Amino acid sequence: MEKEFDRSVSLTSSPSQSKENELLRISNLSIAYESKHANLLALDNIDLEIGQNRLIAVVGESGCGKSTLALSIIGLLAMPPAKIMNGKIEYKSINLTALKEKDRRKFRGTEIAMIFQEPLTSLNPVYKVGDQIAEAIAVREERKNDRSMDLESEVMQRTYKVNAPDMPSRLPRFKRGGLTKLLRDEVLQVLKQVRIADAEQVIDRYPFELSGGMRQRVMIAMALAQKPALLIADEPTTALDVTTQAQVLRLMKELIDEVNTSILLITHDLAVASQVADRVIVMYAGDIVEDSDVYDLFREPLHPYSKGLLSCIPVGSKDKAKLKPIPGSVPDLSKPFVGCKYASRCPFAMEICSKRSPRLVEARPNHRVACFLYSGESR
Amino acid sequence: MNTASFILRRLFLGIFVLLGVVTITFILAHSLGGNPVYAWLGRTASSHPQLVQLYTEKYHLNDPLYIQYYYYITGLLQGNLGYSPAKGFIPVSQVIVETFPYTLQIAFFAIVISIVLGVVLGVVSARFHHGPIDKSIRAFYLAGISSPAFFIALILLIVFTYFFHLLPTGNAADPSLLTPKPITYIPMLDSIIEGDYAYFASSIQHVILPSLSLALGTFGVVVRVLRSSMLDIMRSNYVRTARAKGLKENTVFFKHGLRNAMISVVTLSSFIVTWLITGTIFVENIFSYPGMGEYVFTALIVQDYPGILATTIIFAVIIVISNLVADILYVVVDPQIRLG
Amino acid sequence: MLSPDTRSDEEGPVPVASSNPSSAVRLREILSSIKADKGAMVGFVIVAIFVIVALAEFVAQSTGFLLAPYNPIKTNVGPQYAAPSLAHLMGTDNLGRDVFSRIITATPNDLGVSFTVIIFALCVGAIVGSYAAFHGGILDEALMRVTDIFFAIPALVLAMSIALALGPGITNMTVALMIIWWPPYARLARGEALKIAHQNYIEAARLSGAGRSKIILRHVLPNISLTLLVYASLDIGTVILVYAGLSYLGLGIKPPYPDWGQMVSAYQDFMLSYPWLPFFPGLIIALGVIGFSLLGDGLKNTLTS
Repeated sequence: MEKEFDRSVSLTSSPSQSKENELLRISNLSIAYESKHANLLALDNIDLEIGQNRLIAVVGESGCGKSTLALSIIGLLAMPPAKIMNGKIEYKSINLTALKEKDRRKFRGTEIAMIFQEPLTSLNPVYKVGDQIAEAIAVREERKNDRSMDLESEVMQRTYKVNAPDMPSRLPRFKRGGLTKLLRDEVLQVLKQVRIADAEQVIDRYPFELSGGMRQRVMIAMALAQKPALLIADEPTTALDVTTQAQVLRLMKELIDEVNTSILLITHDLAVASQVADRVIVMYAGDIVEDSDVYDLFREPLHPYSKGLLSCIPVGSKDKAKLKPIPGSVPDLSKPFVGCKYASRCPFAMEICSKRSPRLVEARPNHRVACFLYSGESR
Repeated sequence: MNTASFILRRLFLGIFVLLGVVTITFILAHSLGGNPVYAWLGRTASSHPQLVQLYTEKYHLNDPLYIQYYYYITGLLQGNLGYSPAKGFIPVSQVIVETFPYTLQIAFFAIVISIVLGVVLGVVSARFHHGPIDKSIRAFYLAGISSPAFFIALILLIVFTYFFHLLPTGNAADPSLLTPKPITYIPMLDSIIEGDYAYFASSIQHVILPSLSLALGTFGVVVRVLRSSMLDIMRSNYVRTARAKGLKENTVFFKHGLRNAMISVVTLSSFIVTWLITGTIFVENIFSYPGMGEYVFTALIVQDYPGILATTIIFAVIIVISNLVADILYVVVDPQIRLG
Repeated sequence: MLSPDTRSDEEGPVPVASSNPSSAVRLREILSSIKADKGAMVGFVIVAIFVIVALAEFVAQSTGFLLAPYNPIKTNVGPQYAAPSLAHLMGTDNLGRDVFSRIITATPNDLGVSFTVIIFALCVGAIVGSYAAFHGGILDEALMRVTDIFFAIPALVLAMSIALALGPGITNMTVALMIIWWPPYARLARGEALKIAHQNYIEAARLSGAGRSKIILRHVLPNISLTLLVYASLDIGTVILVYAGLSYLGLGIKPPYPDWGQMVSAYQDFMLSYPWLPFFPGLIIALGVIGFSLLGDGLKNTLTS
């Protein structure tokens, strides 16, 4: 029910949604990787906002900056080499980029959680699955109890959602008599929530004893156990086989309303995005080139790059002949660049495309695109 | 189940290795004048031809090599390690029973010191990597692992015993104190059991410098391995996950980082034990500590063949056992081996 | 679809996969990165000094020319037990011999032993190891078990036992160390060879009918040599240490000819009154080992990153 309400709001209002529904707002964000030889601009003036209970997919090919975007939101970008050149990331109206690491940390997990591409290496090999989830729960509980003592308590109280039963706040002691009954029950509950049927067995397994799909479910369970408002999923299904991939995607879709969270799905695969996302953001070489409702994008992609990407998806056997790769390659991001970064590969390139860079404008209702074809600036 | 078969396999490998070591000493014994009797009698062989005769018959030394080999091994299994010219022709096995416990004492403290020092400095190094602390630690351990054991021992001896008169040297304890009655055959343990605290205190004082000399040469390897494996792990995906959970950096470092890095420290145990054994030969001699290392040193000077060959075998036994312990430890710390 | 191991797909600048540059280019790269690494540079300078002194002294010895300031064997070139001074940089010993001259004279012995042992171990290890890896079966199994046995005996102890059979002396010690030093190299070479055994260029060579020896010589050895060399560079210091130990135990060169380890043990008796006597030879051993391990560390960082 809530979902329906949400969608109607997002469909009728402009992309810059009302403040109440807004979870995350990124404005003018530029991030570069600095090295001795060159600075590589990974994100170039990104503008983006994310509402509540949505599944938004960020699509782009390798190196387009989507992982940089994800890591910068959760604050796990290694700095250096990465450096925020300008812009801010506002989460529930709090500017995360201005916070110290100590305060920044308090948003991780319980507010913004993240799951990664490789569930095997992303889980600690020497601890049981249950212990690792219990640890996540303990972080949540610890914060709930400690937040009144925080320096930033006002901020934290404003942002924190209290909806979990009271739990011991101490971090669980691993391997010493195991977990307390209360904690164990909650872990089991979370495991069941991600549709793990034999949760009683899985809880005592080590990560390497589980299948790939199971591991990724555990990763999702661990993230959801902290009841985050925003879950970033960085290529969560890339390492999985196709069947498992579909199951995990369906699970994520179902969980959005069940646990009251938004998901930012990072993927290189438009097909994955089309299966689950409400909204798709297409990135190219550090720019957002198109930002649209999923139906609109697949019905009528505006940006030439999105069109190219769509023609790369095999749709039924008949279309095999139409399957064509995009010619050319991404420009060198370590050099200053003038003009549209896609111009060299674009079949519709005009004179202006190599002189100025297009801004992201709303070409249709709820459909932003960065291309001179739609900006009315072309001559 | 799996663990048991893993350890059993290791045990078999260990026995095989020991057999190989015995074979090597057999070959060496034969190359000492073509007759292994020299390996048991040493110099006495030439002065007591009748003994040579006796041994030749007892161990079938005029028979083909494989028969000799058989008797060589049965001899060893019966504890026949020969007679030590360096110790007035008492059986080498007796010398080893008398000296080995002292070496065990030194080795125990050396291992404890080098692991504690190594882990602490390794952790500090990794936590503040590339900073001035990290660099000073590197200089310190590099000096340690690059110095011969005898050099470190000499410096410690001069500084602590003769300049500052802080610690005693010579013997395993104050010679005016009576060695406790053997119960475990390890004097330090015996003194505690018998309540002889004066002896215990004295033996602790005597063990500090020798074991410190050994530890200063080995702790650096622990620092080096722990530091580099910590740095790798702190860049790993599961540490990123731990950070994404919102854990404090200290929790991430110790609970997720150090716990995994310790696995690589366990693999060092074989190296450390080998290096310590080698070191005791010099260090016990310099501190006149009555252990097996000191016996090897004297045996070498008087060309006590039985002593040298027997201690070679004993050293190999120690290394094989410590490798076995390391394997078991490895299974304990790494669930992937336990169950995989 | 991406394969699982392309996870670094957008973590920022991805290291460029190294193509195969010519060895000259490679060497220049290595040298420049050593210059950038302070520790490696210190190591390089120390090693260079040691090697130059060793070579010069070796040439001097074989031509009968005296490089050291004093005759290292001649007694009473100065007063007995002189403290370090300008005339005698490291003092004089109980027989009035110049310690500094003796240390210099010993340099070619100590370095010579370690280089001989390492080069021998490197060659034998590389060939035996890669052959075992490609032959497999009994040969491979035998190699593994033999090396297991060698690993169970400390190098110094085994060298001691061998010394009993062969007798002491620098040549015999070198032989003893050569006998026991190659197994780790064979192990390493075997592992490295197994890693590349199923790569396409090996398969291609095999399909084109090249024999095993030819494959090993042409394709395997050049590819594993780098790893082995890095290991060897870190290992030279260990040989210096073990040989110093043997010579300390009196198994090395016969007096009056000097050797670092033997000098420490000879001067140990005077350490209370004249502590610099055993100190300087000991320091020289430590310095040499530090130099080689710093340089080895630097090489390792350059070549494995």
